[in-house]
Amino acid sequence: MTIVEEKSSINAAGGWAQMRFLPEIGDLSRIVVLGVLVVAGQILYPGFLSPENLRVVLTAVAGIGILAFGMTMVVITGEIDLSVAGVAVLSIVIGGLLLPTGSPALIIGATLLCGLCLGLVNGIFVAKLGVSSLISTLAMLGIASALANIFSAGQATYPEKIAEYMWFGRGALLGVPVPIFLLAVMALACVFMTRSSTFGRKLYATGGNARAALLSGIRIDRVKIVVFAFCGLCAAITGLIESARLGYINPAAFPGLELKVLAVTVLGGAALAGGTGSVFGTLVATLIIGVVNNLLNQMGVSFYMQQVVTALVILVVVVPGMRNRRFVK
Amino acid sequence: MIIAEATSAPAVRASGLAQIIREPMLWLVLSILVLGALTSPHYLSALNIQNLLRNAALVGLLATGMTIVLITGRIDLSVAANMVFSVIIAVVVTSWIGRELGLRWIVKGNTFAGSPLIFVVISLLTGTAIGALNGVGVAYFKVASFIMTLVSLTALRGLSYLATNGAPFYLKGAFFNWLSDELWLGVPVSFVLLVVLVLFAHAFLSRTVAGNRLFAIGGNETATLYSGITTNRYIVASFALSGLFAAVGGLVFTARLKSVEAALAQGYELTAIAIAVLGGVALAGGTGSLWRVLTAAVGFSAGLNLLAIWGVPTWYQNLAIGAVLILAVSLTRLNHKN
Amino acid sequence: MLKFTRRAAIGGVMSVAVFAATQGCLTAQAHADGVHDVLNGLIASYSEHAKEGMSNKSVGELFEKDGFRDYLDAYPVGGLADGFVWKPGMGATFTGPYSKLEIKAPFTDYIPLPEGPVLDPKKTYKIGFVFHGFNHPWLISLADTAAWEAARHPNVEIEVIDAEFDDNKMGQVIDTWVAKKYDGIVLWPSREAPMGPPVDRAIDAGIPVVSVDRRTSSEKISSEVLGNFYANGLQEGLYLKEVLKAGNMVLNRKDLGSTADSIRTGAFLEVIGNVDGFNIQGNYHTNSQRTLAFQSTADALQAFNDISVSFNTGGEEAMGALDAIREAKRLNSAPDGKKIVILANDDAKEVLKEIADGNIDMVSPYTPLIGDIGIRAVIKHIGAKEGLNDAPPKLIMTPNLPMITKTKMVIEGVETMTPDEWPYAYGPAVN
Repeated sequence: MTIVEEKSSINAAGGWAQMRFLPEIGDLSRIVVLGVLVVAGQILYPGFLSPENLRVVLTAVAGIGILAFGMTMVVITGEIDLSVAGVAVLSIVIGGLLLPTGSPALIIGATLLCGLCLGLVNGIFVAKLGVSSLISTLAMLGIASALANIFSAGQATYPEKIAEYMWFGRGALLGVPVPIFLLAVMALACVFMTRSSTFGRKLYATGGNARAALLSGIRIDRVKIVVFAFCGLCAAITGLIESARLGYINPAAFPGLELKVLAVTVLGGAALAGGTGSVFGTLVATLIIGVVNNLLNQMGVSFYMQQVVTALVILVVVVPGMRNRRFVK
Repeated sequence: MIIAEATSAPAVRASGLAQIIREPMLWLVLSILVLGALTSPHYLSALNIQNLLRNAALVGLLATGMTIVLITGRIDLSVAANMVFSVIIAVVVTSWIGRELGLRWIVKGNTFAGSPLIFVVISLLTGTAIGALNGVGVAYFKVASFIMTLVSLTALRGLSYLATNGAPFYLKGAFFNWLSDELWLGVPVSFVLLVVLVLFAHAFLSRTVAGNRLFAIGGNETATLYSGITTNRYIVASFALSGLFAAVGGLVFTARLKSVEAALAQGYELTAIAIAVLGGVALAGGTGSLWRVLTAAVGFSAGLNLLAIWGVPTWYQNLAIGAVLILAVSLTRLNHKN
Repeated sequence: MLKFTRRAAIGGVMSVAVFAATQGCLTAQAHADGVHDVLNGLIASYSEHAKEGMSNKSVGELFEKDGFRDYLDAYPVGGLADGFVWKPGMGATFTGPYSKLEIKAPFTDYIPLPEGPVLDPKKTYKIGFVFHGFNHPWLISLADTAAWEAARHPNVEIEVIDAEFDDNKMGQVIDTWVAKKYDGIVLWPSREAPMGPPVDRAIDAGIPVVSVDRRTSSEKISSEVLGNFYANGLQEGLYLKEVLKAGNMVLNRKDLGSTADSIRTGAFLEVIGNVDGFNIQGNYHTNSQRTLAFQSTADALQAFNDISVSFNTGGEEAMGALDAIREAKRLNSAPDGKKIVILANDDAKEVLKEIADGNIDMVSPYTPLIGDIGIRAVIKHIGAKEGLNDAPPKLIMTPNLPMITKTKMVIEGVETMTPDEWPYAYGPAVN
């Protein structure tokens, strides 16, 4: 990843590990933004906080949020994954090819395995060959999308007969729609992984100061391979959720998904330089994007104006957190 | 500072026959041409080579601007959106000026027939201003360039729709015909334009203090800062140049299509990055040769053109682009390790 | 390049037999005689009324704002070539060379060309077919019909290329074919304006060019096989007016400025522009993406609790809207517990299934099975150039198709078809 950033005295003090466990001021400002949006929404639309609308907002962003968790971890290590849209599409297409078998375990298993393997390949290229992740994952995006088209011959398939597959999009657990349930589970798992396990320490060390991490005995290549593989898995889960919601496995799905996910990740406070960012921040950012999109649609703001507004929201939230840096690439 | 400038020296002084012979990209272009000549009677026809050079001109312009930003260690994702936006704004503003002057510069509802001079000036100014805006965000507000330019990409696409209501503008007149179709000694004028601009940009990068400082910033930003250089204004300048090249690319692009509309050229920023990387530019900054990027632009277009001549389906073309890209960076990387 | 498989050849032979059989039973169901002209008559009369003004303010304002009048006035409406009369049941059956699906194409007898070598049997004719989106069922079916027609003629070679919605790439493909001196070019352009110059260059090089469905800005183009967008939007309006007199509507439209959006939505608004009870509550551009249509509909359902109509400019949009309405369990949430009326375009098999199940209320067929007309037209243009036959007309209208509803209805002289009566649906079957 090209984007390098000055690490100030934190590294010198060797205190990077402890720093991560303090509550982050950036997260607080994001929560305030979310709070303001929710209050504004409730004033504008009395039904905004109804369980029905919350369901709409949350299911809409569940897929993007889960993928953003994986992306956040990649970004924390100082890398980037532009291949997620291609990985998601190829994974569901592989599952779609197995639909005639009628075996849910095989279909869902192959989908997830495909995501995991593609992520693994990304990780090996970056960690073992030392290739820029921006370029190698860009190439992977092109290759995976092309393979999805070639394998499916461009044809869509319908998973509606496979109840277990459809469960990922339309099912419910204890009254909670499965996409929302999965978003919560993945959020908890990722927060645990990044905040309170030894893996979390390694993760931030890898992105924060690779040399220091190496000196303290952390195998940064392994850390990177793990996060890329995990991000690939997240892409497959997102593909599963979204294709099941529509009951439609489409080789043309998810155009530009990587940029949407990156926008959420950055909105969540992860700096592309690596070493900073949190899954919790990304979760809040996911909710901000969900609420903004929902409100703009409810207000009938045109699709094209929404693009402009979303861009402004990202700038407004991201810029204040940046001021105290010496320089940033 | 000294160290930083020393690192940029080899890229700058790549001249002499011996060095030219050692350029892998040049050999790749030659072998594509030979392969084309051997497999198709049409590949080396004047018409096909002109087509190929016109495509190289467009992607080459975007990649040149991109390279200038990559040299500082930053990235510009907004080039394709900027390229379309600057032409749209030029049409809108020029026709507004025409209205103020009492002239009908928009005819039949959406055909632009105004002064090409004012049109060109406004499009170049718009492109440069958008680039400078990106630069200010990156340099002074410390927004990561990837994010800053991703945000402008999104916003510019939206604004292009809002400015046109989704409808196209037709571009009619001698200027657009000239830029699209004119040949100088058999070479399309747009490709000549690219070569001339690369010549200037190369001279700027290698022969001026400002140019050297761009390499220095990309090579070792901390050292450059400590040596008392106000890096911010150079960063803004690099983005402004990228915007300028995008605007020139926009003129070449829309002249060929004799029209402009909001939806055009989606994803061309990724092609620009790919060509810069094929041209040996490191994303970490500090290195990059515009001549190699120019050769890479020709190689990229020649390769795609050959696949098109062979009638290779698009999916396999995409597969080939991905494979070549990953092969190129892996080889560069292995070469570097040795 | 398409390889000529034995299967394609057998398909061709079979199609002739099937055609003969359908011809036999057609006399019995000549009820929809001249549906093309009936719909054109309705287009003319509604257009005229709309020009006099729209009494419905909400509709009139949107119609004004997006400039629909200019688009509608420029879109050709007219009679079929050679006095052709299309009747339901016509057309050949074959296996699509790309989709491998069973296809019944409605217009294989329009601008007919007998099977076997064409023009000068000693020559081989190379035809390029360029379009966008080899991974969308509609577009694969379009390529299927083009490749099928080419495969019927042993001395025709076809190259099919996907330009992936990049107008510049499509231009480059055409330029390459000019350099390769192809005999004819057929294209499915995405947008009108950027495709004019490359088409002009091909024409200037003496190569006949035919566009199918959508148009280009070229005035020199040999022929344009036009879609029937106008009849699509018109019938969505006719149906709505028939089943409802008032209600709130949410629109899921295609890309702003695209022909499909301008003509379909425009024609729909012309029909309901003088019915005062309708109110446009939501107006979204979901750009042919099912996910976006899903999202806008889901959000609109939360913003408004009294939506009566979901208008969709395409099949993708309608499926996305239906999924959102189902997820919200709001199918019967229109005032007085009535069902939300869902209007659709594009007769994909998945849409027809939802019609049969009573979820989508009507669909205007917009068949992709017209690539064969383009290939036949360009072959005839090559023949005209060589002095072997007359050139086909410049504007080749595609026959208007009647709307499909769950049960048979007659609306202003248009007899609707039921899903069972419609063998032309495209795309993969829903299991």
